[in-house]
Amino acid sequence: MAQPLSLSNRTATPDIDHASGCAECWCAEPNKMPKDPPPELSRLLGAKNSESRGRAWSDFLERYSQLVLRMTRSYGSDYDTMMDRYQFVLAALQEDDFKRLRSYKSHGRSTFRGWLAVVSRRLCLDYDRSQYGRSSRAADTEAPERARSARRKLVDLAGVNLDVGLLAQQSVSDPERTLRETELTDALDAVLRALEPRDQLLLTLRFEDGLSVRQVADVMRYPSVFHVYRALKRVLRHVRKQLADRGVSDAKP
Amino acid sequence: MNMHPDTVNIAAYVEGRLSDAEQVSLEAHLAGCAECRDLATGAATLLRGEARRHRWVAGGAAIAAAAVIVLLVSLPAGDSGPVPDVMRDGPAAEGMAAVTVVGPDAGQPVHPDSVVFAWRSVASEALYQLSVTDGAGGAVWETMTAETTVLPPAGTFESDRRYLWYVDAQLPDGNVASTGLKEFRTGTR
Repeated sequence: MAQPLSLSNRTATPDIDHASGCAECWCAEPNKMPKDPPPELSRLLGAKNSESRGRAWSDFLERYSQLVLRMTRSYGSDYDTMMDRYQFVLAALQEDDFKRLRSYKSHGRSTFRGWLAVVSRRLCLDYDRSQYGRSSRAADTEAPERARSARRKLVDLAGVNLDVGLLAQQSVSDPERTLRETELTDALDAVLRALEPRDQLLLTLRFEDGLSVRQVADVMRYPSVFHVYRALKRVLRHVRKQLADRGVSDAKP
Repeated sequence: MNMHPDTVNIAAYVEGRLSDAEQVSLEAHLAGCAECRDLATGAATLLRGEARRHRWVAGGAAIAAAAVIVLLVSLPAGDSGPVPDVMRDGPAAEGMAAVTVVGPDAGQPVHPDSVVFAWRSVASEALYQLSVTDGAGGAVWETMTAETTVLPPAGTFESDRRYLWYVDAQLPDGNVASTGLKEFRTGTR
């Protein structure tokens, strides 16, 4: 089944001949669909015996192992954990006679490469859950503070002078203050919920997940970071207006 | 929480292949589902990064090839001709940001087994491609690295030869920078 892999080979061998014009990623003709399924996948899934299957798996790895490796690397952790995660992803792809790969049915909706990137990410998450019971990211003890910090930033940008991020840490010794803060938080949440899904996602990626503007542009396919800045400015202006209409723009906790 | 979207749909979203209605629906789900957002974010960052990297490599190679061709046309036969000033700037003169060279020094012959390429970092997490040709433009060695100092394998360079080299940098924001075409000469082994 799994062929032994040389890391040096994996990293040294380009997985795509992009110079000749690759239709399998965004480096050329982004709207042109590639051959689907790709020949490496067809050969692998159509292999009749273990020898041809082994050869086809090698070809498949030569084409796609860098993508999987980069994904496992992007998930963080030290080198050993990264390689364990990489092996886990490859083993999961081979399981049950390549059951996951056989489930790829694009119907022209996505490229195999894009699908494999999502599946690899999913398997990285599964690996961390199998090792730690839940995502190592979710187990990150700094995550709650980051979320509070991001929320504070959103509130600051929306022009509301209120530290809602610290609500959970507030004592209940001042019921009136707590009530006021809760009202203001509810107002903000109501305004955010009323946003268009794309605007909600924009704020969530930027202020809850803490993505860079470049990453937001990548995920939401804005043509440039400047488009993201402009969109953020527009949405925040709208949020400020909605909050002001609710009488909370100059609120003091 | 709505049912999680199929992986094909997340991939299609990342690649911008959903219909408007599908996109609205998926973005509404992503806004409220951290797990699916993570899948989309991870895939998008990886795929877009790859696309930028390949554009950079292809662009850098084309610029370097053009620079070497112009250089060779402008030089007399043999490998002893000087690099014209315009070529010293090379790709950097074409509007790219410059990568500052630390070594090897073009003025002093270097022992063939002691050549060390070094340049100043242009950004954290930048990726560098070093390419070396002989005086006639033939490829000698190239490597890609995140470091700013590179020691070529022993035996890469011959004695008393002139070599040309350049480093192109890919910055995390997708921009590129370059040293432009540089040269050095090896001494006797």
